[in-house]
Amino acid sequence: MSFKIVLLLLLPTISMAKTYDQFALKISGGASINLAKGNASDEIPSAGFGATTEVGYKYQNTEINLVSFLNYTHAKRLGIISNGSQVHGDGRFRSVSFGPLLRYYSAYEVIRKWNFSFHISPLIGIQTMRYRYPTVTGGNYQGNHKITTEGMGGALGLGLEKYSNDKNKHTFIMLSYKFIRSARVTEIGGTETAVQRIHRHSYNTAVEEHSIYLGFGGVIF
Amino acid sequence: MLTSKRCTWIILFTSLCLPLICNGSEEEQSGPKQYRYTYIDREHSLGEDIAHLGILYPLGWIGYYITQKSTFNNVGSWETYKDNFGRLVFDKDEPLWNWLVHPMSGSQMYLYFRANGYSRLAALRMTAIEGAIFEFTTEIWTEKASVQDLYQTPIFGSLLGLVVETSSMALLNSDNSALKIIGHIINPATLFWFYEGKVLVTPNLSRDTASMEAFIEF
Repeated sequence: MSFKIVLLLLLPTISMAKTYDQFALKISGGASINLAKGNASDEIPSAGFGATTEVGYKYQNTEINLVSFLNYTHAKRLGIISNGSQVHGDGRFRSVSFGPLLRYYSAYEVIRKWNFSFHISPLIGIQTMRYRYPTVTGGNYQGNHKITTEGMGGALGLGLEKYSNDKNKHTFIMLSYKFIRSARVTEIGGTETAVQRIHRHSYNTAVEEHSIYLGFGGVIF
Repeated sequence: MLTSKRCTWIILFTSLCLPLICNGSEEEQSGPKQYRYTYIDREHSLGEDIAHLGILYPLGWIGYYITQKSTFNNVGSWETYKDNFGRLVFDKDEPLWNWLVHPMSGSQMYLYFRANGYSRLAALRMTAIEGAIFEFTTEIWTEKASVQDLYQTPIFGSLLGLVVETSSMALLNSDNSALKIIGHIINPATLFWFYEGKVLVTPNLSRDTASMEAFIEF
């Protein structure tokens, strides 16, 4: 039974060929659950909002896009080592990732005109943590500075796509798991208009970000 | 009493006046001329693409100098330019720059290309190219090229540009002069000679026909 389901999901259909084959810009917005594990301590999972933008080309039942994932949460009890200090506390956590995305549209219709899709994407990303009243142990970290971490990872997930011959009526629901492992930690000071790099260091792992994103979107043009 | 003379006059009078009464005025009635703002997409040659990119390039330098004069003078130098050339990093800028300034500049680039007859996707493509040229050859005067700016300038700029495009068209096509001024302010590309979407519309009304004449300048 499982083999037959997999075969149905992979078979292209005539209806696929009738849908649009061309470039498109797509966006989605929704909710995300984030867990960022710092190299000083663990964090409690937190909920926030997320968004994606994609631009690329769809050919029959395959799509290749350039994608960005955005997650914004209020992190709790996240610990990071920066500039010789163990910094621990709550604050605003923002994650932005970019990369190519490959999506495959299945022939299996869940309900009328809604089909499954699968996507996979290698990513590079930057995470920004701005602490609010952190606990600082040792080192030279200044409490009003933000900490950024940079790393690589990927995303995979599935979606439900509502098809139409008109590209602009294409809508979708997207469920995606994203993982970013960051190694480079930078402490940033300065002002809003002129940032200043205070300290930078690379670790084996500084922050591991796991997030699950559920969004709803469509084609813009 | 109807005499033959009176009948003759009645017949003459009726034969002369009846056509006028039935046809109304034979001359066409035209309403006041008015412009309708829209976007008319067309194909562009490679030469046109390069020319438009070339027009925007020096404007990027001028805008960069005007908006960041102190950074331009204090941080920028030819040594910095050479060190930063060809390098790509994640920038650490505040959201003000990545989420507001770059999308705003991207939106105006998008609207410039739209005014010159590019389709929405073509305008996005040209904005991405122009944004990349700015990142790798202009902004490196003071800092390395940024991954976020490369992506967000054309993508979020096009999204914001689409919002401004739709809003400005509604404002420009309203009958309110104040709203028309606001439409031009938020979409300044509609003020210039290169804007290709200004259509002169002349209503044309007569007894038998009602039509609109549209005169489109290229």
